Parts: sequence; C-alpha cells; structure tokens
Amino acid sequence: MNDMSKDKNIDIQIYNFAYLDENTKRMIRRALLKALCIPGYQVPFSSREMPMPYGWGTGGIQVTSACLIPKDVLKVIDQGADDTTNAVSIRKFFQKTANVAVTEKTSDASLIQTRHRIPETKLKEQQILVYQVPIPEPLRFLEPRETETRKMHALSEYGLMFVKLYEDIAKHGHIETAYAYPVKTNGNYVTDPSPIPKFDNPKMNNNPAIQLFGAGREQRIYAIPPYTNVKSLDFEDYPFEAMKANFKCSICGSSDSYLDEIIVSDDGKRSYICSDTDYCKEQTQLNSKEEDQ
Amino acid sequence: MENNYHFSEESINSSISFRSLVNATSYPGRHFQITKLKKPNILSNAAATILITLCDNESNVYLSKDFSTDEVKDWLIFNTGAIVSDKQNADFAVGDWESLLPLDEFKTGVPEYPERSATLIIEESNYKKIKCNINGPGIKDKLQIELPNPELFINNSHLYPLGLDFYFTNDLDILSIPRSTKISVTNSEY
Amino acid sequence: MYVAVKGGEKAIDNAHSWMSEIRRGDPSVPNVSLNQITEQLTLGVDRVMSEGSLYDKDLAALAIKQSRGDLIEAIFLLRAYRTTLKRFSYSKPIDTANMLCLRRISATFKDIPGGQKLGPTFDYTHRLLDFKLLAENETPLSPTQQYENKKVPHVLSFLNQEDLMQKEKDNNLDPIDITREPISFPTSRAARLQALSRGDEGFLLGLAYSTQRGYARNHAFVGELRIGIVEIELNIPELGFDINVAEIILTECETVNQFQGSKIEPPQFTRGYGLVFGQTERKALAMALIDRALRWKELGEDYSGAPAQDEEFVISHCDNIQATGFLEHIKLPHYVDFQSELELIRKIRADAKRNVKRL
Repeated sequence: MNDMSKDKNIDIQIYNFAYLDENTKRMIRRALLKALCIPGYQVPFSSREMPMPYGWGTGGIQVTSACLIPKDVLKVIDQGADDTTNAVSIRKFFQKTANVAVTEKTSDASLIQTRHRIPETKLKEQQILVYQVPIPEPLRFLEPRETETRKMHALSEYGLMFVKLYEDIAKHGHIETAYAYPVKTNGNYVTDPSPIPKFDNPKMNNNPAIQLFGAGREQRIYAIPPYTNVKSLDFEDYPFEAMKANFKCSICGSSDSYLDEIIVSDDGKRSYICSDTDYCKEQTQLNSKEEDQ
Repeated sequence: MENNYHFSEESINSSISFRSLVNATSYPGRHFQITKLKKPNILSNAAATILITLCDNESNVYLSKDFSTDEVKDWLIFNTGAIVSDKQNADFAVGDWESLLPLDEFKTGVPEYPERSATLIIEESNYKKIKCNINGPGIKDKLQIELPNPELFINNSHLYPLGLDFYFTNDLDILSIPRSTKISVTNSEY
Repeated sequence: MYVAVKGGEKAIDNAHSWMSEIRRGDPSVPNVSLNQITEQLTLGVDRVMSEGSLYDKDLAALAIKQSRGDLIEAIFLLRAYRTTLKRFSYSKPIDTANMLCLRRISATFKDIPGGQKLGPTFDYTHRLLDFKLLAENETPLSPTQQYENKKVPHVLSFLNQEDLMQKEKDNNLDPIDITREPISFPTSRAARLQALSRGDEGFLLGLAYSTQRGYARNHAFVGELRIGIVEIELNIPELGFDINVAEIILTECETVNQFQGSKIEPPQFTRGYGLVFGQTERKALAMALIDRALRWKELGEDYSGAPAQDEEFVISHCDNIQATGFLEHIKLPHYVDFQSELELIRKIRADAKRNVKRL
C-alpha cells in the first residue's frame, strides 16, 4: 500500500490536474468557447502530443482534459461500450491523472467521452458529450485541400457535397453514406458528426447537452451547443433515414436501440445485441422488474 | 479510498471557473455563478475570473478607460502575462457598456477564420436596459432578458458567422450572449 | 451465449504485463543499460531526439529501451513527454558558422577553406558484416589529432561573395512555433522547415529521392554538409548578457540548386536547407532537397504536380507520430460503423434483386 502511494506521488509531481499543463488548457479553452459561439465551425487549435497515439482519441482526450473538474463523474465509451479496450484505457488515464469518479451509467455521468456512438439514454442539460474525431472536415473526401475546403465553408459553398449525394442516389437509389453522415449545424456550417452510425444523427438535433468535438491529429475543435438545430443533409424526394439492423437485442429484447451483429457459431449463425452496453443493462433490469411484479 | 492526489490549487480553480464559462456560453441568457478570487476592486469577480482563466501571453486585452488603471494592468500582467492592447487588436475587452462603445472598432473575424474575433466582458453599470426576446443555439424555445442598445446586438448577430461574443459580468454572476443568439425587442418602447 | 464485449480491462492488463516480459527478454541475458544505448546506438538516439523534437540523450535512450528498439514508438514516447515540459524561454538563434565541426564536406569544391573533414562516416566503408564485432570486448582506437577550435566559414558564403548565390531575405517576423500554433496553409518557410526537421526520415527520404528521379527535379549539389557541436545561448534580461546553457550536436546541409534568371536579371544559384538534431545526415540531405522543391512558387518556377512540390501534401503527412497513430487506429474496433454499412449493403442488394424480378 505504501509503495503504491509512493508511485502516485511521483505521478503527481510530474503532471498537472487532468494531465495537460495550464497554458495548454488555456489555449484549448479559448478554442472551445469560440467553437460554442460558432456552432459547427472547426476552430484550429495547437494540438499536443498525448501519451496515446493519434487516432486513439487524442483530440477527445485533450478536450476532456481541458473541461474536467474534480467533482465530475466520467463515462468513457467506444463503440457504445464501456468495456472496450480503448475506453478502458482512456478512463484509467483520467482516473489516474485527475482522480475523478467514473461510471458506466449514462444518466450518472457529468462528462462522457465517446468514440463512434451517442448513448441511447437521453442526455440532460449541462452534461458534456466529448466526441473523438478522426477527420473533422466533412468535405475532405471530396476536396483534399484545406485551403479549398476552408474557402468553401467561408462561402457556404456546399454544392459539391450535394452533387456527391445526388450521384449516389442516381447510381444506387440510396445515399452511400452509412456513418459519419454530414449534417448542417444551426443552418450554416456543414459539419462532420464523427464516425457515428447515421442511426445516431437525429440525437444530435436539439439535444439539451453540450456536444464538443476534438480532432487531435487534424488540430481542430468544434462544438454543437445545446438546443441547436442539426439537420442531416438530404433531398426533399430522398429524405434522410436513420437505419439499424431490423432485429431485437438478444439480451434485453430492445428493438429501438442500435444493434451489433455477432457471429455465434462456426456455421455463421448471427445474433444481435445492443451496442450501448449501459442501455442494454438498464433494459434488462427493467424487464426483470416487470416480471417480478 | 485514500486520496493521495495533491493537484495545484490553480489547476483546480481554473477547471471549475472554466466549467462555469462553458455552461454560460452553452446556455446564453442564463445566469451562472463563479467563485471569489483575489483581484483589483474595480474588477468584478466574474470579469477577473474570465481573464485569469482564458488569458496568457498570447492574449491581447483592451481595458476601457475606467479599468485602465495601473492596479488592473499590474494584476493582469502578473497573473496572466497578457498584453494590454488597443481596441483593434483586442482578443478580450473589459469595461462598462458605455466605455466599450463604439463596437465596430473591435475585430469580428474573417470569413475563413471567424473565431479571430474579440470577446467583450461587460461589467455591470447603470446602463439603460431594454427587454428583449432571445433565441438560437443554447436556448430552449426562447428567453427574455434585458440588454443595453439591443440594435447593436441585432447588428452583431447579422454578421454571423462573424461577430463579437459577449459576457455580462456582475459580482459573481456571468451571462453570455454569443454572436449566434438572435435578438428581438419585445415591446414598442424601443 | 457468446458475449463479445466483456473483459477489456483484464485483456489490457494481461497484454501489458506480457509485453513487459517480452521487452526484457531472457532474464539470464544482462539488461541493456541506458549508457550502452547512448554510447553504442548513437545514431538511433539521434534520430529519436530529432524526430522527437527533444534534445536529451538519456531520455531518448530510455525511450528506445522501453520501445524495444521500435524507433517510431520511441519518438512517440519522447514527444509525449516533451509536451508536458514547461517552456521557460526561447534561445537565441544558433550560429552554425561557429560550429565545432566533427565532419564537414562539400561536393561542389575539391578543397575548401577550413578543409574537408570526413569525420565518423559510413560513406567509404565496405558494407561487409564485421564478425570481429561478435567479440564483446573490442575497443577500437583511432589516431588522435589536435583539434583546431576555430570558426569555419560556410562554403556557400564563398559563392555569396560573387553574388552567385541568391540571398535569403529576412522578413523580420518571429517564426511561428509549430508545436504551439496550428499550421495554416499556405504556410511560411520557417514553419515548413520546422515540420521537415522533425518529419519522418523515411518519408522525407522517399520524397527527396522522387525529386532526383524527375518529380520536380531541381539538380541539387551538396554545397556543404557539416556536423558538429554548437552552443545554445540564452539571453537573460535580468543579467543583461547571454549565457551558454547547452552544447548540442547538429547536422546542417545546404544545397546549391539550379539557377534562375532572365534576359535582364543575371542568374543566381538557389538554396535548399536542412538542419536536424544529432548526426542525422540522410535526413538533413532529404530535408534540403524537399525544402528546395517546396520553394517553387517563391522562385517563380512551374508547378509540375509533383508530390514534393505540394506543401500541403508534404507537411500534412511527414509527421510519423500523426501518421502512425492514424494508420494504426484502424486496429481499434469499428464494428458500429461496419454494422451500419452491413445494413446498407443488404438493403441495396435487396432492392436490386426486387428490381431484377420486376424486369
């Protein structure tokens, strides 16, 4: 025990609360506030190397580090689950560097860091949802140059994006984007929702919680404030459609949550379970209560 | 579990202050509270907190005439390293409402970089307040608040996505009006 | 039933302890010490310091040991540590003309004032495995020579005297610090050089090589390559004078490139520049070639569409810590998005089949 506390003291001497130093936090905090003032606009920030690799959520981790307060209750998910390896690693990092409480329950969390999902449980006012973002520029795959895409955002020149979506429809009868489906924020900027399945897009709209996005390698921060209009791009005759596997969760029976497909036998038999493990647990508990009554 | 962690007071205080700023900026028109700190008398706790939480040696700060005292300057430079600047180059500006006018000398950003704009910290004074309705991002349906010279805020919101962002400070209280907030005057008195 | 998601925490702990064990290797073999790494794997240490942007041999050695010799992983460890360090001050610009040269060569002149000095180089060795090194206690010695500690002028300054070399203009701006400010494009040469100096050696090597093979060819001669010790000076305003805070080894390369000119403007040679921590000459050469290729606009050359001319392409992809992170992150689970793709492809296929039936 004594040895352990010695180890911790070493950590304390080296690192600031929640790892980043105060100067770096100030820079990130200024960027975050401007991001909230200009919903959906990508604010450049001087991203730092973090002890995790780029692509592992360094942007989200920096945003969380700049936002965290001692009395926060932190939840970290990857693919909707708290127990995935990267979620475990990030949660441990903040337990160690900020000594914050952690939870798996969405409703108990004051700050949630996520990769690829928005929790099924409705978020509340003053909860913060931090997204890890790999490519923050929704136009990047249509135009690789930052100099060009910056101009396109400045002029609200989004024709290229609609042409791409329209070509999809002409070719396939569908828009060929299943995740990271672009949205328009506050009627102005086309924004990348991070690689969440498009099933989650509608949750971004008019959400009471604060949604912050961090892209470490690409050095961008953006935000969707609470109660902000977020519209998935579509056409009148081809309206946006959220989508999920048309099954029930084989654990909790839920038919309205996003499902992961798992292969359960050598002959390729499939089963479906909730991607959001906390939601699944909650539904299972509700079911057993109902059975008891 | 025993708490072996001894983080610096500065890092704890700044995190808590910043959370109040995040909440204020996220929910425009609502009042949020910050805690007391050591600061020059003329500055409110809230204004001092914003400066100390956000400014460093890369920040240009404009102090309007009543606030441009040696005491404030020394405090600001000692605590943040910020650069005292003119209006045109200011990233942050502090003053009472009248003394910050006219607003059009502050930078409002450029189309490629709309964030390169000033943040104004308006200290409570007995300016004339007019009832307004506000709506937009961060506001559920709409809110009613009082603002000085609403036409200036309306003009500012017309610049969107460029524009200025405002914090109203009064003792421990912070209220934000970012550029994204839409303003309309409620009655005919104006 | 089969549950895919449980056990992440335990899996991580087990993987980490296994890795520690593997890193140590056979416990009957002596542990490698940091001294051994700093003394005997010096070029690896230099690469880790240069791309890690932190001049500290012991920390670089520790990173190499911890990363089991994976230099990019070691660079990553050093960068992550560097970012937590407080920035006290900026040093005065280094004057490489005052370098105490360990190696100094010019390919453009047979002999040069100050002399050609080969120094410790592989250049003229025969690449034959030296089985003598199998013996663990060899201590080779080289003949000693009195060191002349005097200022050695840059070779290109001789071309300057004749006005044959284009002069670099000082724009009198403080250079941006790319570790503190995000790069925006188009960027300055100062920012580009910083990015290249800590860019991945392999990436820069390939790009530089491509310029030699005709993709933005610029006919580089090595005007001078020098490796040596320079002093780092800090101005302390309270003291009112400069103090020497460190001595570090640098590699500097200046290339002499094709000239430009016109009927009314006499032609001049142009320059590519490379400057890197440690003894890192492959990297410094590559950096100089790429620097020169990226200057096409400033020098009024045509854009041929070559990758090495494309500032955004080069600068956005030369950082190996960014690159390896993003590349390797595809190992993380992506099944939520993949599920969405599965649903979509099934739906499209079902629609297509229905349409075929209708036909």
